[in-house]
Amino acid sequence: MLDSSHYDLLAKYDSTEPEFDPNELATIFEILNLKPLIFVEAKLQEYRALILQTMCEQARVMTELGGEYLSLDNQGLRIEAMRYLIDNIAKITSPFMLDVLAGDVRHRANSPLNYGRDRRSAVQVERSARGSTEY
Amino acid sequence: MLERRHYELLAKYESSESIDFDANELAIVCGVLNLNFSNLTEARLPEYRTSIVQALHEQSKLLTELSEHINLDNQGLRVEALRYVVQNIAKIKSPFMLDSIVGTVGHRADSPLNYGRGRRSAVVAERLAKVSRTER
Repeated sequence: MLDSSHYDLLAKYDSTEPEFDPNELATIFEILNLKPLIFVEAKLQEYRALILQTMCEQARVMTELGGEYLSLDNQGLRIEAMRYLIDNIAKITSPFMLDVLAGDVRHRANSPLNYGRDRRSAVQVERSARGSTEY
Repeated sequence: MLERRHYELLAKYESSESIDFDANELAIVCGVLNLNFSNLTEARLPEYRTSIVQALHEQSKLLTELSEHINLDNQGLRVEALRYVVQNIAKIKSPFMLDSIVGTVGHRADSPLNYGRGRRSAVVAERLAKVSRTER
């Protein structure tokens, strides 16, 4: 997964007027899966605008995917939730998006919100939840 | 993520022991492997088991191929490792495969093998790893 140093870099270009650093820019372009460039200082603001726009678009996609995934998982439909992600997996186009996806899926397994679910196995919960959707 | 119970079910249907027909269990196993059977009937239980074993084998093989990202991550090339997974993400076709990939990608960050890496940020480590690779 990405670590705090990667997110620090993204935040730097999101919130301040950064100094030109082609190595940093190359790393960010890789994280967002933007086409590699030979960076020139004169275009720094252009790169920054592209980074911000891409982050915004990718975050929006992940909000949609994560929201629907969590909604299904919260109903006890874990397999269906994961199948939803599989159906939409082609929308994951960058390490940034993959990292968010991994965080969402792993978080749900470790979440304190799952406290109490252990009394029934995930298989039993899924079976009951499927039954309750058959109105 | 999948839970132990899901893996126990997969192991049950993969084993050579005889099992009773249970449509609910089968539906869950098929869901985990993204297998689609229209109606589950007892008479076709051996056929379902064959499909389950075959799917497990094929999907595990693909996951082994995708484990190239672990090699890249071990070289300090974390972003490149993630890019490798993204480039091959269409190969992930089931909750079983998604669970495995998410587990591996996440595990690498939490792994005790990363002990000591913290002295340099991942960004710096990646830059150095790229330099040393191009100098070979």
